[in-house]
Amino acid sequence: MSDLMAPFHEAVADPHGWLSKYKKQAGVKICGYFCDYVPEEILKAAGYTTVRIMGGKGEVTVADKYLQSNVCSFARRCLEQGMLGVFDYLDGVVIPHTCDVINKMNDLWAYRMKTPAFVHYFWVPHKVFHESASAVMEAEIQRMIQAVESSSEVKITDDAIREAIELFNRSRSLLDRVYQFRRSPPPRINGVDAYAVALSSLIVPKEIHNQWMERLIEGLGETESSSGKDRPRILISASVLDDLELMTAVEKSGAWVVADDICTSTRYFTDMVDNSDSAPIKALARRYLNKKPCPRSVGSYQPRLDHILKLASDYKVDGVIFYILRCCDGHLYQYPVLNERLRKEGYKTLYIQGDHGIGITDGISNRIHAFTEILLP
Amino acid sequence: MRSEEDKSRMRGKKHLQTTREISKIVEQYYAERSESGKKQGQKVAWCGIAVPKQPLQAMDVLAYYPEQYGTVVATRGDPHRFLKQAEAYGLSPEMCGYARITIGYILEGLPEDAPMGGMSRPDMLLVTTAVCDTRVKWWELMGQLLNVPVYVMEFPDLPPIGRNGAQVGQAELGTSGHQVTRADMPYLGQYALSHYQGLIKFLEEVCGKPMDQAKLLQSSKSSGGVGKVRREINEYRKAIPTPMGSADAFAAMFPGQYMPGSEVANDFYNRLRAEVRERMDKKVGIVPEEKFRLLWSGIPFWYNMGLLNYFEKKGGVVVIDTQYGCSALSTGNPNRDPKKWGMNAYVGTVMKALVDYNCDGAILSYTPTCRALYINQMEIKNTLMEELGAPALLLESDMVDPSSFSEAQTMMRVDAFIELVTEKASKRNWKPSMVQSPF
Repeated sequence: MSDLMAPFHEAVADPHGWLSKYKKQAGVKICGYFCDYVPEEILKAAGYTTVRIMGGKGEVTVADKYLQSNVCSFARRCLEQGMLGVFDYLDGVVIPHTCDVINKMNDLWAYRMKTPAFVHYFWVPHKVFHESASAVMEAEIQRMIQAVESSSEVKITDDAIREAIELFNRSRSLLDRVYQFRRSPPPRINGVDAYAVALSSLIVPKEIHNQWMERLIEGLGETESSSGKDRPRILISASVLDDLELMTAVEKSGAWVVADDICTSTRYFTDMVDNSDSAPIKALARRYLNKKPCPRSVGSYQPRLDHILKLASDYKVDGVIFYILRCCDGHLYQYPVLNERLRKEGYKTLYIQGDHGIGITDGISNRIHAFTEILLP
Repeated sequence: MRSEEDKSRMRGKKHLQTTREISKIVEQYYAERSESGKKQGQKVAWCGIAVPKQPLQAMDVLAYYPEQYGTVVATRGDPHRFLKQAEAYGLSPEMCGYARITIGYILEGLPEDAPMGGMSRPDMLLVTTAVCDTRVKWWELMGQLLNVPVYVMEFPDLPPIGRNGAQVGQAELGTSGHQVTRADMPYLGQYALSHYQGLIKFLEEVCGKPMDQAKLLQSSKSSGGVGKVRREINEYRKAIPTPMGSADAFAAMFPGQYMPGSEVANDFYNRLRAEVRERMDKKVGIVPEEKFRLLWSGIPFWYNMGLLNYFEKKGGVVVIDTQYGCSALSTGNPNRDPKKWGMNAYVGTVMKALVDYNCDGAILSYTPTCRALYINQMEIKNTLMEELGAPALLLESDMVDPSSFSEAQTMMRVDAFIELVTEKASKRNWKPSMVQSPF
């Protein structure tokens, strides 16, 4: 099993090194994007390899002059890395209007940074579930197509978009199948490994990553569910989480991470694009508007609650950890109501305030340990 | 708890006769609402600051503005009473101070002994997506706590095209930098319009009656008239010495911001215009001799408006403030306009106001709990220095939570800044922009 997991962990351990090497070997263009509302399929249809912009761990020094301490620590780390040249292998970046801070990330990236040459702003409606949103989302996708075509000098055809949808849907479906191996008590794949699979899907080109996942699924299918003692089963609800520290801390405490509501995981891959639709742009607009929502979206509370409750029931969850980055307003406003409701449903919960650059401190680990102890039968 | 002496020092002093009436206007506003709110039939709405006022006036909806009420609590009450409630509920101290006050007020059950009688229980909540995302989440949470319908009006707020930053004109000054549409995104204008129409439909449903189109037209005309007078007043503020500074202007924004189509607003601004014009003609300034002129960007610290007067004691004036619109009759100064206006129109409007109003430097209120504004402030500071060589001072504090204000540290920095800006002003190498006569 460790052999099958090795490539996923390698990509997660050094995403920039992995992509730089791949770019050199394969001679491809790479386009970065923020958040999970950018239709990557368009970029893929133009021949780009897509990569989610991630913050990584470390200090903020050069970016502090532009984005100061009381702003999302994830965004600060992204800008820091951008200014230090960590993303120099990118040929383009697409920045959506998801929240205020990511919106300003576009302003800063466009105005203050020299690279990459192609910076595209993608406007996403707040009222994603409203009937008026489809037309404007379709228009934004069309505008993105024009911008990408003009920058890459590649004509994006409907057939190429359909092919990309097929590839990305396959990835979504495989990711879901990997996650399903955690339903059994005890799970056939632990939370750290499962999350490494999800995270690496944001880095590694889908055609390669899908092959890795197919091999892994075959391996997992042959594995017997271990008969060892089961542990408390935990669901993690978080904003953005781009490494394995939290999952590791939870599993070290003696619990399993069996499910999550995270934008670099299930909120990213759960919903499929309807590729039977004769108009692929319409289908993409529908999927990205109706996917498991980020709390920034209007009307996102109920779908988020439904998503969490369904996962909690399907994966027999005992407790929920909310890991919310300081200053992440969308999550902070929804947390009290969501927490109250989950407690009413009988789930124990733990709130952890995170700092993206610092990660999991000893203090946080101790609180996770105490929480796991509470969940023990 | 602050002493009575501290409170008195922190209270702002107004220089104009007309602006001294504002307290009464605000009191009257809340008294009328408190009375009407108890009447059967009239619908009550709690509104975000950018919600169009005219449809509400035309439908005879009683509007409250929780952000404005946050300032009332901060200036006339004990903000901690409600802030504590919100924190106990699970809202972090790093979240918007206005939001925490309102949520705390709701959690306390809309108590009658709240400052100025509080806000009447709403039948609906209205908000736009302009300025910040926070407000949308805040309104949704209020909707859940109060169990009333929420209408969110989409109001796109776009960055400039390309990578050269903002192009700023008169329109951006009037809207404090919001750009609803763009040449390459014309559909967003139509989209915003459809949401305005959605607001009308929502109001009709909640109020159970059709929109009174004649009243809507009338209200729009009156609001437009008030807007013109406010721009004329701003034009006079360019004069050296300035006849009105921000210590008066922050108070004077209330009728224009919250009751623009009303007779009260109309009458107030006409009288204010006359007073400002007379002071300008007679060269009556805020201080005997202006040693430096400043701009204020961002939300003021409502519990410490006396800070604005402090600059006057040192021989300078905060001439203009950009938070609630700073458009005058004319804009631009070919002797001083920079090559670039900054990363977006929020930065650009401050830059332009600094030039238009002949200022030497800027005070940037740095309210960490207001993410949307806070993010721009550092860029404003950087761009003012890079493009105009103008110094700026970042003052960090929450807009309604006095415990976040460190007086000793702040005043030390203010004094150092005053020295710097006074020196800078004594060596001005630019010609001031002139006041344009409306006649």
